Amino acid sequence: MIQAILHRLFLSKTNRPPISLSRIVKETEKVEDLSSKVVVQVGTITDDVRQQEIPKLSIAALRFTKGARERILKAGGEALTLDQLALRSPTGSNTVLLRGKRNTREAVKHFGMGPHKHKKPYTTSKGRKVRLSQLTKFIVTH
Amino acid sequence: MTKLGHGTGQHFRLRPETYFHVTAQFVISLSNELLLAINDDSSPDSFKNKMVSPPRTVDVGTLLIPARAQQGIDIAKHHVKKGARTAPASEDPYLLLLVKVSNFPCANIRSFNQSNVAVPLPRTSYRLQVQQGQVLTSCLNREIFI
Repeated sequence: MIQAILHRLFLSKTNRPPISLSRIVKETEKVEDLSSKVVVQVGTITDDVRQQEIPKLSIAALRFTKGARERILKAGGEALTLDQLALRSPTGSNTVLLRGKRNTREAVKHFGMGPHKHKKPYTTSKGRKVRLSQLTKFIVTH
Repeated sequence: MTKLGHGTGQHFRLRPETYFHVTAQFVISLSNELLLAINDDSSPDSFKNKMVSPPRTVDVGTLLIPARAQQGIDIAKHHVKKGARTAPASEDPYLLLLVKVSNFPCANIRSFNQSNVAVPLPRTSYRLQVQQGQVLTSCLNREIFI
């Protein structure tokens, strides 16, 4: 557990993707006795406006966005840093280690571009041809 | 001296500015030794004996780079097949501090596992060995061991 955290501290920013509050709520649904555990993310915690209610959570992360921190504290939870976590559970006991999705960033949508690959083209123009192709795609799919 | 790399033990990162905070104690102890050497005339390291004026400022950079690293032997880069990082690429001091904090229990776990696996204990203490068990190993290792 603590070795996994150490490893993730070495990673680049691309490999430390952010995770949203809604995702945390979804992933920790089935965790038993969550109130006594700390959710750990080596990276950023972001807010999600689609999530109406947030339970009381203790979350440890490298950084929190402003909105995420406000909502966690408002729900009566804690927003910890990783050094505070190290004092609480040096071996990483009573923690839930999560990570964000790596393939959701914009650049991944372009990878493997070619004919009939259905990948996003690198275009600078948003002109007639692009709009036409989008229209065609819309008509074909619907 | 802190060592962030691993392997041959000769891999040092030559970035003295990143070591400044964490090795402040080290610098202080060294400078005390220097002061003693300056005051003691009988010492061979005395600056009077060497006919060198005592340094007014302690050069942190040169003090922190070990002699081996200055010689220019870089064995750490030869035959290294692993591409995984052994230290963060960032020089963020807060991140480096976090690495130190989390490396401490990790080093304990590593040494504990290593001592249990590598050193074959005599049969009399076999029971003790089993009771101790492993903190972090793969399933395969645990099966063989216990």
